[in-house]
Amino acid sequence: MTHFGRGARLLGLGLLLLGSGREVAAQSTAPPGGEYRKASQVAGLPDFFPGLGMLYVQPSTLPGGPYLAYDHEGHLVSSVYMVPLKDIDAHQKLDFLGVPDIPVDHVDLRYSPGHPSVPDPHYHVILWYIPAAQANALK
Amino acid sequence: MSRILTLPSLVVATLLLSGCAERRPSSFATAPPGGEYQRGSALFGMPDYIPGQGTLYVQPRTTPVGPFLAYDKQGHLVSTMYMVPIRDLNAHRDFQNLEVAPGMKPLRVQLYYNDAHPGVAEAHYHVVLWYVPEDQQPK
Repeated sequence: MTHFGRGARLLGLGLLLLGSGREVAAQSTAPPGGEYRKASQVAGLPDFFPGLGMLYVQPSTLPGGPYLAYDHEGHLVSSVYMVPLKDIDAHQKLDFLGVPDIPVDHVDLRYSPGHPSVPDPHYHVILWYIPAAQANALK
Repeated sequence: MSRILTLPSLVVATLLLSGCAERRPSSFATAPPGGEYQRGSALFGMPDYIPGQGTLYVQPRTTPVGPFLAYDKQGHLVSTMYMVPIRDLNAHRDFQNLEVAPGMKPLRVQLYYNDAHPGVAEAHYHVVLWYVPEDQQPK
């Protein structure tokens, strides 16, 4: 086997190892793939949720999420976790797995009076991957 | 070409690529975090090391909500934590543009109830962005 052939195999193995990690590239642009579906189709949410973006969610994780939010250009801008106030009042412990493998820029905790998929009053815990100025410009 | 794509060079390239896929280094990754951060124990009389949380640092101007940066006994950053009074949640108060440890990628998001303790004088919720797996959380 030539140096090139062995090297190419090694590089391929390295890339496979990289691919076995958390899904960075797959989730950084819409659609995220895997079990994620448009929240507008599986949860009755608007196609573009004002202030958040286009939301994708795995039906198995409804209603809490994570929801992956994309801007109009299909870039991942945040992941969103929806926490009912009644769970907070009941002092429930909540765990959300499957967080995108992307550095967080800042965090918002926003009240919502309810909407399709989470009809009760709840909080959106938003891990933003873009600066606040860009996040605030999402329409 | 064969001189460029030698086995060692491809190994190095693969390892470098692999390194890029890991968490980005952060100046906050090891204690003390520096900047305006101070030990919670020095500011509020919190225990220096809190089982299940670690050693907490916070910027006084951001209390009581935080962020609190939590470190294990080896001084490794394990989480960014927010302490949100339930009174504010029930008043539907929004918290926007909360700071995080820059460059860090959470593995999971956890929320749980906490009674009042030094530093947060009323019942509140901990919103935790964990950077380590559950079996590496501070004991």
